[in-house]
Amino acid sequence: MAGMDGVEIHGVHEGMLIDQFAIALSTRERTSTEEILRGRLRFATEIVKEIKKKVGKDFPVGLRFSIKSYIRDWNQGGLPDEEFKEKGRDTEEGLEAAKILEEAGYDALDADAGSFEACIGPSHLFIKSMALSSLSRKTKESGEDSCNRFG
Amino acid sequence: MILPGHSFISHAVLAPFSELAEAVHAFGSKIFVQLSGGMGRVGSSMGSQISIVKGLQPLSDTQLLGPEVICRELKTEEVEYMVESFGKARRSAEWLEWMESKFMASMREC
Repeated sequence: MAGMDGVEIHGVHEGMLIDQFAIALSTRERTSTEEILRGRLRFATEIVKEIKKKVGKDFPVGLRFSIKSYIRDWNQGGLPDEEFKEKGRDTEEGLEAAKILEEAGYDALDADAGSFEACIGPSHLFIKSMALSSLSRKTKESGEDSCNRFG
Repeated sequence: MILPGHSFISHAVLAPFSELAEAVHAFGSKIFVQLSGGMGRVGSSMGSQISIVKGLQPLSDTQLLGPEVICRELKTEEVEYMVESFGKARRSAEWLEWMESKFMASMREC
């Protein structure tokens, strides 16, 4: 693409549009079997399949990805150090989603956590440095490439 | 960040990308471009904070998302159009490269 080495899809990330399809809170499906999770991730998986079909499987396609949403409720966030019931995507589902996304063809997950819903994201500086590194590490240990922008 | 399928993503907008890529490559680095599906509901959920679509009804996967935002539900064919547009983002860039090569050739001829 105009000399670009690859593309990154934004994303199953921060509760933005593609993530709204993926998170149970913002869909009609409130349960979470693997089949339903695959259905919620279909927008994201169809995109990578379409790109690879048009461009070839060797063209790198990454995905901006939130492992965990930190959503306490609509427009209310939880913080990494406090106890709250996660209403968005929790870590366990995030790691399961990571495998489905890799299987669909994504070459890398550019991982962080948070959402607009929760007012937590890469731009919110009140979170301590490297607060999300353990999540990023978990994603990497589950076999995905990931990076952490909180360095 | 580029939103595939939107009419304002013209070749004029994409034109500086190959120049940027060339400059980055000159330093031995790699460069990716980010293609976004857009904000959907959160484009207006925070009101004045991040309302980049003030006055417009946001689109999402369901109509009722949260207490204060009513979205228009995307139709299946609209989602399919968006998916196709992600694939086409590459195509428009290839067309751009072709145009540039023609332009460079005509410059050499001058």
